Amino acid sequence: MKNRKSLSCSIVLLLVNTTGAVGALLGTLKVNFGTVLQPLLFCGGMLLLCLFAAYFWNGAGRRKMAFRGCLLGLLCLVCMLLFSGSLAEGMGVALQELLEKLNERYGIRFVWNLSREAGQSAKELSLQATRSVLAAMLPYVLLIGYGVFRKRTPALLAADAVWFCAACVMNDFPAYVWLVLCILGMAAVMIQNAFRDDERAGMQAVLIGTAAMGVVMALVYRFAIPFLDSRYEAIQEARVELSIRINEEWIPEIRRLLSWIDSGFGPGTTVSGKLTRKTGTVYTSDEIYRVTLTSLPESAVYLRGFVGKDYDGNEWAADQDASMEQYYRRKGWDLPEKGNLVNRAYHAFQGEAPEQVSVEELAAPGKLTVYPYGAEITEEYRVHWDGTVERKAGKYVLSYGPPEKYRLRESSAETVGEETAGEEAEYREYVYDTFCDYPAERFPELTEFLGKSGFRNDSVYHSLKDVLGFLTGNAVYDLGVSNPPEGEDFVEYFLFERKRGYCAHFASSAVLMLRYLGVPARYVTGYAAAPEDFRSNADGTCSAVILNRQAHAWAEIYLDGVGWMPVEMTPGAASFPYDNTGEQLALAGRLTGADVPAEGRGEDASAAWQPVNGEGVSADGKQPGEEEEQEPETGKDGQKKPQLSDGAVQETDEGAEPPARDDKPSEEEGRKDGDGEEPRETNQSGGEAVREPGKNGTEAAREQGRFGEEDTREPEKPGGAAGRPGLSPGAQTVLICLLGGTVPLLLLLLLWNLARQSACRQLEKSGGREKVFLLYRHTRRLLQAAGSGERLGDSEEAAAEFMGILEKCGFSEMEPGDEELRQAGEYCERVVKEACKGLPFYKKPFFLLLDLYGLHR
Amino acid sequence: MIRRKILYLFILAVWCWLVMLYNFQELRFLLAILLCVPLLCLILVLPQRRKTELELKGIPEYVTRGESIRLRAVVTYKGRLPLAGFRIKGIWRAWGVKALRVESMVRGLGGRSRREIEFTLPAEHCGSAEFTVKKAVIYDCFRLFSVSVSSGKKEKVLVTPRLEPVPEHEVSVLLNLLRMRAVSDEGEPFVREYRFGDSPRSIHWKLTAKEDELQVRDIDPDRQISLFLNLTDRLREQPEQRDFFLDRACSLMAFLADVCKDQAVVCWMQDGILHRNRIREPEDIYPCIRKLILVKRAGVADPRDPAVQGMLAGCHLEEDGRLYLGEQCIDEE
Repeated sequence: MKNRKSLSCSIVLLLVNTTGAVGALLGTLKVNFGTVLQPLLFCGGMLLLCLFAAYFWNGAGRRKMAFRGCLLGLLCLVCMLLFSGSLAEGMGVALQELLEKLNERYGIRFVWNLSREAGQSAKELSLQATRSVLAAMLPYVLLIGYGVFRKRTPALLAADAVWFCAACVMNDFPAYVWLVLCILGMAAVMIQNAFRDDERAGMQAVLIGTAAMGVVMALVYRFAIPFLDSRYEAIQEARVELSIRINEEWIPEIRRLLSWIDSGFGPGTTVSGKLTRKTGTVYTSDEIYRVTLTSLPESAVYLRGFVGKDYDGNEWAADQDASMEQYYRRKGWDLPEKGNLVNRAYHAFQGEAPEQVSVEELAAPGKLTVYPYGAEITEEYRVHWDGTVERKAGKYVLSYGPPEKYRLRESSAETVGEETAGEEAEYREYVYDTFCDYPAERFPELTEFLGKSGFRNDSVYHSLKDVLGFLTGNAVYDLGVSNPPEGEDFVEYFLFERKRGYCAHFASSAVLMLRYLGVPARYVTGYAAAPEDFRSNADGTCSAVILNRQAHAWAEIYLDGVGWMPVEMTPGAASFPYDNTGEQLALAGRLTGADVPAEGRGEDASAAWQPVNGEGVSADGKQPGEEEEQEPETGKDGQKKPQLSDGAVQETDEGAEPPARDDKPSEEEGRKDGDGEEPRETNQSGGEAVREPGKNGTEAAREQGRFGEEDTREPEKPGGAAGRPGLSPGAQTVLICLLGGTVPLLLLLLLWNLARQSACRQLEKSGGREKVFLLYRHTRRLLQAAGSGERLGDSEEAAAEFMGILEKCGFSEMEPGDEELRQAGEYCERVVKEACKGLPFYKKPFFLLLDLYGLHR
Repeated sequence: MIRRKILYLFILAVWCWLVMLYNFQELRFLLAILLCVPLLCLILVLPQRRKTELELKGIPEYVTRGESIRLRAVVTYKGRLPLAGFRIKGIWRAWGVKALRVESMVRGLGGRSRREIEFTLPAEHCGSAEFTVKKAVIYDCFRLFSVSVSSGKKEKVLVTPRLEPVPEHEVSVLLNLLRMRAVSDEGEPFVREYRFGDSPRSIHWKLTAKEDELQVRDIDPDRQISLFLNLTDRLREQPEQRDFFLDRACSLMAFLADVCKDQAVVCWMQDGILHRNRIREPEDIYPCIRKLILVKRAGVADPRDPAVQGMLAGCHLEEDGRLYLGEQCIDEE
């Protein structure tokens, strides 16, 4: 760098670009900055790294470079020796988080259990991770610095491509703020590099370019993005076609070519709670599992994988084990046998001769084992309380009782064994407290609709029927829909705006609506196979090969005494075209003792609920108001009470009240309960649905979660993957204010700079006499502005000399000599400085701006 | 720059591909930026085309062989927005050598500025040479797009032979020849019959009217010194030999112009015709040299032609650069 200005400019550009690139990289790799300290630490660390890079790359000479390299290396070595433990641990934490994400994304079977020091809080560990990651970023920053200071644009592009590649690998994109910083920094450096022969012009160009790019970005964000988003919807079909081609033709071909590599990557869709899709490379015809049953199934086989409890708009979060354990501890209950709990559905079927199901992994991805409802999970599996099972690769054989055979029993009461009745009652209470959680304030539109819909909540059967009828009649299945726009809720946008969606839309909506109606429900993803998919084998068994495209989502409801049962809520899903909704409805009705019509199996669920003049009307023609009058079974807090196995609803001490979903507990009550006061007592048979007011399940789970849970969870991204503006309104405002403030400021600075240059040029071009007059005029104006009077000092000797020079130039038309000119210039400068000194601090910057000859001097 | 464009197009293609695969709004945002920003740069650079001027300076009309030419391309930019670059590509075509391509670039051009690009061009062989600006472009901020400023500007230069002193033995021979062919005092013009190739200006109209035959004024061969330059087409294939021949020829011409005044005639074959040039003043040798250098085809002299025979009998310079008087080589001594 030739001069200080240019060097400073380069450091600033390096800082901007590096902050953007590193922020984007860390954002993509999910290294979180959760606390206030961490962003500060991040910014400080970036500045330090940039100064390092500037020191290392600025200037020339091999000896100098070697010396600087040695110095920096020594410094790094000392730091590493001093903080080796902390840095290594922090790096371990960061890498572990990254690995978890990679495992989730690609189904890699790589597990790394990090040993952590006891007594360290999540915050401390997170801080350590930030420090370590920043330290690890030094080579990255040096690479960017090489591009900036050595004017190597390819190096800069390569460094900035790193985060982009990471984003593609991680299937996630960094926030807008990082993108904007990165682009601005990179473009500015490229512009600066382009002006390497004229650094001054380069700085001007950087200013103009940055301002112009800011305007362009704002315009793009405001106008082009909505347009592109709308066009994106329009090319959806083309995208789907491309995806199919990639999935069906290219990827299998590539995989065939690379078959000699045992990569450990699963090709299928990971069963998870993610609702939005970011990539088109899903739903392939890859073979994922081979399921073998003892006999041909009478109904669809649902292979359960992920189970979602809390809905946050973008995804369903699983129920953490700690959540249930804490609940049980708070209640003073002993934890039940995991086997009893998880295998309740299996035990419900114990009277029949169990069959066997064998699941063979062909190329399964993810970290969960899928298994059918009614299968017995033995001790050899790592099972969670919510019934999800850690992945067990290879082939596994389970005892199995097909759920459709439950109907053989007289009533579901019989399905509960006496020895487990107590456990079941406790668990039921937990289920009703946890899985009926419906945050009304989060879904204003849905809540309002449900309040007016007239959906019946007198029995599970009716609730299911109404919800299913509404979904079937109101929305159309469409696998090609894109993510909802920013600010729109996934479910509400699907139900009331687009009315098109795939299984995740239907299942999520159903779960929320069922919860509103008091039916405990969860969101489940896994695979579904129709009876037609099974082929008889020579040994009498039958097998079905589950393809990747059979990945499916559905709802599961809790039936008292029986356990969790799947309910299909998606009409005509591509992954599962088999229509078993009526069948399941009838089964649920029978198991809950509802009065199921004889034609229940084949009944048309879509006829159950039809909107009339925008108001919901139940299938039997009753108005919503009439329905509400007939709901004495609902609890005070709006939760439906657990039904007994015969379908009757448990009465509470406070009597029946109509549903009042919007009636949330007051903040005071919420705080009171939240402070640890014991929730209301429930009766033994499940009793009243109780939950912690003022907190939804997600918050509770986060509170109770161990370190890493909140960090590893995908942060609530502004706009998320929704394919719509990714900034929250607050951030948008900040960004717009920033751009709105920066651009005029830059323009003003530019204008000022031009005026100053013009003045200086005029001064340079002018002759000696003219120069003296210009100096005099300029200085007098400055003094006027400073309020120091118009006259330039009378008493001083220097002033007298200056006036003498002025008079000489004015009257005698003699050209002043160089010495006289120098004296005049020095005198004017001194006068201006003195005038500036006398000004209050807030006037000084403006006064200095007026001093157009400052540059010249 | 082509690499830059290819890279940009490649990135654009990759981006479009990724946009089709991934449903990230940020990806679309970047795609829009990737399209809009270069477009803006192009829009900004287009009006600057008229505000940029190129001027070629420093090319003389003549240059002596062996010297180099310092050509200055002066770029005057009158716009206010800074320009990322100015590139000039030129081609230098000189006789006897392969065309030389030159290229230079100014990285960064401030508003209202003027820059000079200097090229050093070699002038190895005698003949005409020409510098042509093939391309002069200005670039946008990212140097992705270029806008042509001016092209096709040409500057010509004549590479002349080196004028060296004539060796002393040749001087003495030539002076001796001059003395022997002293001019008579009668003052009658020597006339002869018109021959094809004679200038119409030399026709003696009065005598022509009298004789009824075209009569032209000429110099009495007995009175003038004629120098025949045996310029052959073979010399064009040997640039060094040709340079030597021309150096010798021009040096002799300069000597004759200086010494013989109105009595020297220099002849050479051009397109198969004997080309005569009378040297009256020392300044006359420059057009003469120019003509000589620019001879494209000499042709073959007819040995039966009495004029040619007369020339060969007198003082003549052979293609090997040696001076002959009749059949006697003067330079052998």
